[in-house]
Amino acid sequence: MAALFGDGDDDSHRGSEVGVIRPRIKQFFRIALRRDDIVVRNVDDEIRAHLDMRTEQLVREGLTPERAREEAIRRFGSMDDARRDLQQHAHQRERTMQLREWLDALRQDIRYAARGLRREPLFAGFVIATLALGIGANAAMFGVVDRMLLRGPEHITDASRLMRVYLHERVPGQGEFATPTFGYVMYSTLKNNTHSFDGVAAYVATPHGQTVLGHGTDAQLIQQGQATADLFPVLGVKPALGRFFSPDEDNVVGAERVAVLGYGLWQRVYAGDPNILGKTILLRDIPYAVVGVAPKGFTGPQLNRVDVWVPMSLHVSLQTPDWSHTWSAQWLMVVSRLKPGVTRTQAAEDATAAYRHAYTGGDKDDAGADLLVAPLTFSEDGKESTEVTVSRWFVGVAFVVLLIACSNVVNLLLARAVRRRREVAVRLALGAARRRLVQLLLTESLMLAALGGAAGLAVAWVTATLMRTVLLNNVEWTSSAIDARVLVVSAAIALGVGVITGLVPALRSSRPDLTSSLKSGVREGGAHGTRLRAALTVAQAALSIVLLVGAGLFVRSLTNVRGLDLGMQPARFLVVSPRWPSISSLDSARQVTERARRENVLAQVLDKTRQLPGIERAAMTIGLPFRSGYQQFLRVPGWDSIPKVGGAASVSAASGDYFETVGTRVLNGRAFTSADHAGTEPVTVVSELMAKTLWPKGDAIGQCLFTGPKKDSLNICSRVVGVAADVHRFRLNEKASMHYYVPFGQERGMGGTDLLVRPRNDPQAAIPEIRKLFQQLDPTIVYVDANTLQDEVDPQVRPWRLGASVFGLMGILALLVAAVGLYSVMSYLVAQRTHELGVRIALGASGGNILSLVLKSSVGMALLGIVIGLAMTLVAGRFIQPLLFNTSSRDSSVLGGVALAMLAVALLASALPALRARGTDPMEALRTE
Amino acid sequence: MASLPVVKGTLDVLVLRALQWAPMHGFEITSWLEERSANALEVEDSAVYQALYRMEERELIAAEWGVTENQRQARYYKITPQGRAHLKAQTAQWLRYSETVTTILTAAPKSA
Repeated sequence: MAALFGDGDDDSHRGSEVGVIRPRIKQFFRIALRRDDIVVRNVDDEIRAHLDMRTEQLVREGLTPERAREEAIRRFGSMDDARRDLQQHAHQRERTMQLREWLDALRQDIRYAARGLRREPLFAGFVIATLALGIGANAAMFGVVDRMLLRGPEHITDASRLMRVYLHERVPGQGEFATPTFGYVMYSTLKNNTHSFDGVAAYVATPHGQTVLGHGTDAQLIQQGQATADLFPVLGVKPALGRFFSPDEDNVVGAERVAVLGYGLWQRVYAGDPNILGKTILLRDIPYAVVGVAPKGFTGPQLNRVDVWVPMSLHVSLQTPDWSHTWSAQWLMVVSRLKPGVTRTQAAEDATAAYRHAYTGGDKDDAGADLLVAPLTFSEDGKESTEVTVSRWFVGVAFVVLLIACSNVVNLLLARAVRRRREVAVRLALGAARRRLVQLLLTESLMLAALGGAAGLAVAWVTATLMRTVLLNNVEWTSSAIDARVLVVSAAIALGVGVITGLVPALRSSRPDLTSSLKSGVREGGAHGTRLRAALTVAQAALSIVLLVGAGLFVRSLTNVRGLDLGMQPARFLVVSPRWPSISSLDSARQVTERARRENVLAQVLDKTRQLPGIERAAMTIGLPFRSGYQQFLRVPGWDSIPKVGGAASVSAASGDYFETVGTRVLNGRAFTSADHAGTEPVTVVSELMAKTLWPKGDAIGQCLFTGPKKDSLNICSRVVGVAADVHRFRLNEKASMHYYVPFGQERGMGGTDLLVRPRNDPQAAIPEIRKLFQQLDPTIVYVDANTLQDEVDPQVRPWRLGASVFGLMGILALLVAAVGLYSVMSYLVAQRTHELGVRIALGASGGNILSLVLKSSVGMALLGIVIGLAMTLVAGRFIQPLLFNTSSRDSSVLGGVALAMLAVALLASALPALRARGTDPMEALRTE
Repeated sequence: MASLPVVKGTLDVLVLRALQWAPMHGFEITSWLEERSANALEVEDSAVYQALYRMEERELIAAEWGVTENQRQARYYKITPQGRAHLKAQTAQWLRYSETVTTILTAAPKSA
């Protein structure tokens, strides 16, 4: 068989790097063609030989040559059929043979490669570890991004057409605001008066949807999702068991109380009981019939866990009687499915028209607002959420790590190729085809990549598990950290990495400058190879700089977020919320008495709490920051309309000791005391911003403001008695807005009291005692929920925490890899120049001279990397700026610190090679060559 | 002389048998078959080649180009170990088959 294609590789040794590929491909096809031609020719030759021999035989037997020929052809039988049949068999045989040859070669290559790697375990180990980090980081990031960006919440059919609706308001002079929360009336308007949607549904965002399951000691706090009945069909989700609730169950009047269990709760609490349907569960002491179980991992349109789904209207009816048509209450998120062919813009125009036509709320700005229609991954302010943007960046970060890993591996493979120059030259000289040689070297790098990929899965698993449990623990993760999609992506990355890292060194080292390679020793690596390796090292340093600067900026942002003055001390006090049974089943008179009784219990608890020895202060409030807010009508003498600074002014009610309890400073005048309550002189404390805005002359104290829930109720003057520091109302990165406080008991039209307790020491330690107080005073309380307000604030810190940890981790890994890369290049350079160094030392160069010679070139590479890296961060800075918190993307201390760190690492990495160079023995060095 | 058609599948065995002792090229095999059967078998020459190619694909035989006594290029076939095993098994099976058929066909009517 060798004779058929043994003359293959004669024209492949020409040309430049690019030119090498073309003749290769041509040649490949020619071999294929040639093989097919040969098969056909062989068949014809064989038939011809047969006919010739048969003719000769027949002539010997006495026939004339012409007759003999005819007879031979006749005896052969149908020529065309036979020829076709034979050719077919021959082709088939040829293909089998080719495959076998290829497999044989592959097996040989693998065996050879494995042997080579075993011979250099340090090299192999380092390459595999580097690739494992690169591939693992990418696999882990993919797993996270896949859920958060690509696939979105689970079980949603065609998520790309599912949209969230936002109200978008432009207030002249104040900027733009977008909010995703609406009243029921917005939902019904969009549902009934638009034509762009295949369905509209509403739900209550889960972070504020806790409820109590069970009673007594078994009671536990669970996440409750409230949704309209059409949420499930709009999302396109099918229940795991039973059914979801129907429109008539999502009804205030006469509806039965039904619930759909989340899959997790069903498994956790009911052990996956298949007979759960029809059973009754207690939610806040009210019985609900279980009608279905949601599929595993179903979280509605968000990613947070939901333990139980209940119809929305049942719960709403408790709040206000006019809930279904008021424009002033906002608690629902609205999702809708675009009809096929309808664009977001068209849908938004349609929705805006319907909204403006229906709006009767009376607010000038709201009446002129328009509606936005945006994908689910957008956050509360109608922009892509910070988490989503950060995770998008992670993909970039992981890719940079992969680039660094690849360049490092290429670097190591190049160094190895130089070590094997002689071997390769000998092989070429002995007639090995260059194609075979490239194939062998590629097999090696693919094998390394495969091993790296396998190890990378372990890295990915650890990384992803850490990210899931530590950084993204509010997301319901159902699939394992490494699922089929992650596996496929990892395999693809490993394959790509194997080819890319293998091809450059393979093509380079198999280029046959035979004679020079055979003549030279290890000493002459070729200036060109060294330049490439230096360039790769510089690139690694530059990319590491980018990651480290990213890490630095995020850490800076995180510190700024943590050090942010919220105007209060959310970690120092507890928010205590007793959960009573629902009173919706009582008639309205009894509801009133029960409400009064509960208020009274709270007041008693407040008194008793204040007497506890471990408690410093306690207070009550309605409208606690980060939890809830009220906006009421406001009139201030001297102003025709109150300016909206960062949104409309908000109000809360606060008892005596409130400011001391939450830690908000009163800058001027006085705080409320126990002497301020219902029936005493109406007073108010305003925020600093409000005081400055409304009374710019600094004479706020003693002024009058009129406030109330209705426009015609603004007849009582509340005298300003104090000015308090500005407090963040809902978000860490919000613009300050005006706020005012009224004494607890003087508020009108506000409800939802929170008890605030400021213990002297660790807040958590005080919880059991407070719970006991409640239970002693009122055994009807189902559960007492107590947390620091910091728990509400923390989730907002997450994007920066994520950014700092991921960038930090990757940056340090990148720095390590770059350091090892630099070390290997420097060691190699020193080994290569042993001869030269020997000569220098022999000629009288001092140890210091030699040291600085080596260090100079390594510092040179590092400096170049630093300059390029910093230039890259300045360009990238523009894009990352919106993700940072009160930090400039050109923060000089971060940039400077990173540059210094890189320089120090470069010096460390080259110290050992430099010392080795200084220790060169001139006699030894000169004798070896 | 009326020639016998070859029973389906037996040509392969016959060809293997031809190659049992020495490699042959295609024409030698046809000649061998004619000689051994005294021209009693009705086989087209192309059928022999088809059998050869079929068996080469199944690796019962292997082929390589060689030179005949008359300095002619010809493709020589030789039997492989798999081919030998196949020949042995097929021969045994054929013998049992023909024996059985013969027994049935030639049995004397049972006399009481």
